[in-house]
Amino acid sequence: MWKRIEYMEWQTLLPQIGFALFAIAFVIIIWRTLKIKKQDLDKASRMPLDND
Amino acid sequence: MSENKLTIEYNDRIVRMFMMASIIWGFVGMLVGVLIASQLNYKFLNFNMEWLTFGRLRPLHTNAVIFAFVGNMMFAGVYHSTQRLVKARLASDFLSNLHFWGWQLIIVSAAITLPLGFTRGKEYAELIWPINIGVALMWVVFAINFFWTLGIRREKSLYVAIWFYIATIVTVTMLYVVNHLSLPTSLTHSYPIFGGVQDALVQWWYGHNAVAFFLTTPILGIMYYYVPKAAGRPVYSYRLSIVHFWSLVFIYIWAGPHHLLYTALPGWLQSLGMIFSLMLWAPSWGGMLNGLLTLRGAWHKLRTDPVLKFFAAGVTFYGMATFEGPLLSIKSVNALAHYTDWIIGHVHSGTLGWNGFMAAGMFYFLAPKLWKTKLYSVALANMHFWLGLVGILLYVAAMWVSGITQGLMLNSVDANGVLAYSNFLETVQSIKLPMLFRVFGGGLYLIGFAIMIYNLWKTIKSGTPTNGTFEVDANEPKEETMGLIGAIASPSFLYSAAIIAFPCVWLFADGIVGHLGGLLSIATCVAAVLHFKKSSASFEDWHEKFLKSSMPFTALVLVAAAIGGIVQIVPLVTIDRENVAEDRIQKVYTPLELAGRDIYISEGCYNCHSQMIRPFVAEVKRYGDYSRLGDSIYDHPYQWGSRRAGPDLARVGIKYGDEWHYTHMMNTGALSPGSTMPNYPWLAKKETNIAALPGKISALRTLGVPFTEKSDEEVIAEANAQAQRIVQNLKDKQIEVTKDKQIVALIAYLQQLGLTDNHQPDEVTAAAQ
Repeated sequence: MWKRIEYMEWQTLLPQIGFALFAIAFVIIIWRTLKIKKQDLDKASRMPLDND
Repeated sequence: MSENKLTIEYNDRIVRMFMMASIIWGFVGMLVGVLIASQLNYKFLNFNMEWLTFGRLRPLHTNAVIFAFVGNMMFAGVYHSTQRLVKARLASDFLSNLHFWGWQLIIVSAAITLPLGFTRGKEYAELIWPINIGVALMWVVFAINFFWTLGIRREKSLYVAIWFYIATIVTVTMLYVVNHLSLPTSLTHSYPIFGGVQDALVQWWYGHNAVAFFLTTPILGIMYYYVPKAAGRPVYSYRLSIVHFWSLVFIYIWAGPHHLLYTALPGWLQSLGMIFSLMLWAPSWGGMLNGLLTLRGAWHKLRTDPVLKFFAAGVTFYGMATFEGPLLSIKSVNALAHYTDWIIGHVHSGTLGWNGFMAAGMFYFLAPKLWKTKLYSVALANMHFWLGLVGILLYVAAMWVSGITQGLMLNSVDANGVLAYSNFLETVQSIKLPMLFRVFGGGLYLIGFAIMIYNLWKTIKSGTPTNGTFEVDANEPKEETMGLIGAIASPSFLYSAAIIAFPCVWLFADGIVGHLGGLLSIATCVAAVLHFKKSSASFEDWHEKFLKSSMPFTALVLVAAAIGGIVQIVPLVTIDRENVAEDRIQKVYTPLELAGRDIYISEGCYNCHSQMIRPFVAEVKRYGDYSRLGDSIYDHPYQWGSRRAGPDLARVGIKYGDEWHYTHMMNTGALSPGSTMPNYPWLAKKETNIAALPGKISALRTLGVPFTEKSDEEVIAEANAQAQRIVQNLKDKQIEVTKDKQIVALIAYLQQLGLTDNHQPDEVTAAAQ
């Protein structure tokens, strides 16, 4: 593939930082999701069924 | 009402209004879709009328089905389900009504301006700037009404459907505003502030995520509310729904560049787009399985309940479309499929199957409840389902055949690099039959939709508009939430932020700063462990409260969605464009060429013609040298296109004489037998707006296009002189036309496509010296 653009200093860091942020935040969310109590999950999942 | 009970009435009137608007506009939008699909078979259906050509009606079709059909359906679903999930009436009847009538006014304005040729020339972002402002205002009204309702809610927990609605509101705001930043030159015309490759990236960041956050996340919220409701059982896995939500919000926003594979977009962005598209497979299928498994134990109901039938098929199409999307994002598959009908088929499996069937299921569910009656005919609903399903399958299968045929024929070269099908029209002829099946499939779907309208109309006539009510405990204590500042000024948030930030410094910074980042990372982890050991419940409490606090939650969603856009767009808009362009750079347009370009955009030529030659042997042989980043660096808006119903035009300049273009535009069939391109006789009658050129050039100069400083009189004189030269060329070939006609300006534009200056980046020039 042709090289279409010169890599320029700090711009190349942004995707790496973004990816690192994404990965860390994602792991935290998965961990928190797995830790949710069963009764909370049951309550939440029944919310659409609560009314009319 | 008992002593301590308070009865509150939901605002279901607004739900009924949005629902009926969705049905009416949906029919209109799909009818236009069938018409333009027919135009690709029978060009006489363009009727030689400028406001009925494919190029002008296709934006009307896409805008109508996205913003009018799905938009109104989404608002109906969001308003209906939100009131019930948060146990509160919509905060403001005035804002609800303003939202409804404002949105319909926008749709009517679009339906008038698009056929008249007033367009910004960017797909799904065609509406002119005054309408853009209207859309932004109405979206703000929607957001205020929604968040205000959350603010007065009685149910503090936010069900996952509400999360999806929040993501829709904040992300669409961000996408719409950035992609519609423009510099107006008149009431009906503007130039986007981004140009060339930057405009392309911003456009597909928006375009792809319009699919994600306008056509997907709100409908997923609707799925998570209405499928359990209709099945009478809770969602299969609430945990999975949370993972589904955050995965989509984080990943979707990065995937836009897969629309620009093998173009002049920088390679690292293409790779990023492809990788994140592949990652989307997992959450999308997780969501689909969650929806389908919610029906466990209720599958037998599908035999008799049309609502569940539509939902089950809709969710299945969500899975199919989100399988096909990542598949098409693989570069080698994309090389075959891009610019072909396969992509159009993929989009329609999502819109007709996922959006259309979820909408139908929701309408059949809501109508009897909102009018307190029974569905008029289950048999008619079943007939709608089967007609729609067969229609979609015929449509999609026809587009696979058509798209793969196009891809194979256009990319086919022999061992010596000679094109196997050198005439583009050979492919147009080869796909005639699948194009007919496409019309037939779309027609069946439309007939099914018409049956639904009749069925719902009879249902509504048999009932009475009724608003839902609910009782609440008047003395219910208020639960404490944290607010935005409370969410940030807590040990949990601060530790989390530090644990993200310091390792980034450690990883990416050099020298002493990097070491310091490492030390602080370890220190923060130790401090966090000690802190939470001391007060073990605090993080958990914070997280529980966080999920019940809509504003901090919204801020987090915005951050999550913004990351992907920032890392892609910021590097590209901050680079020195001209210095990183390769060996050539676009010639700045002459005034007449610029006028011609605006006519090209106004006629919607980009709906069928690309201006981006990919670096493949077949494309270079067919169209000319592959497109460079510098070729379109001054194009506001970019015109790379996304499909080829006709050939690429990136290097069509000086390939043919002026008289060829004139004759071709007046009667395409005369020079291209079998062409489906409409004739454009009005271009020889309508006058070019030469007087507007100085203002337009001034606007583009403001945006960074290096036009030479000239007085208004000089600009007009230059345009007239070039027009006179073209008129003389035509006269030499026995064609009489005056220099003020639009066709002359358009010829000027077409004749310069692909003409560039040799270019050396500053660094290379300096090194040579």
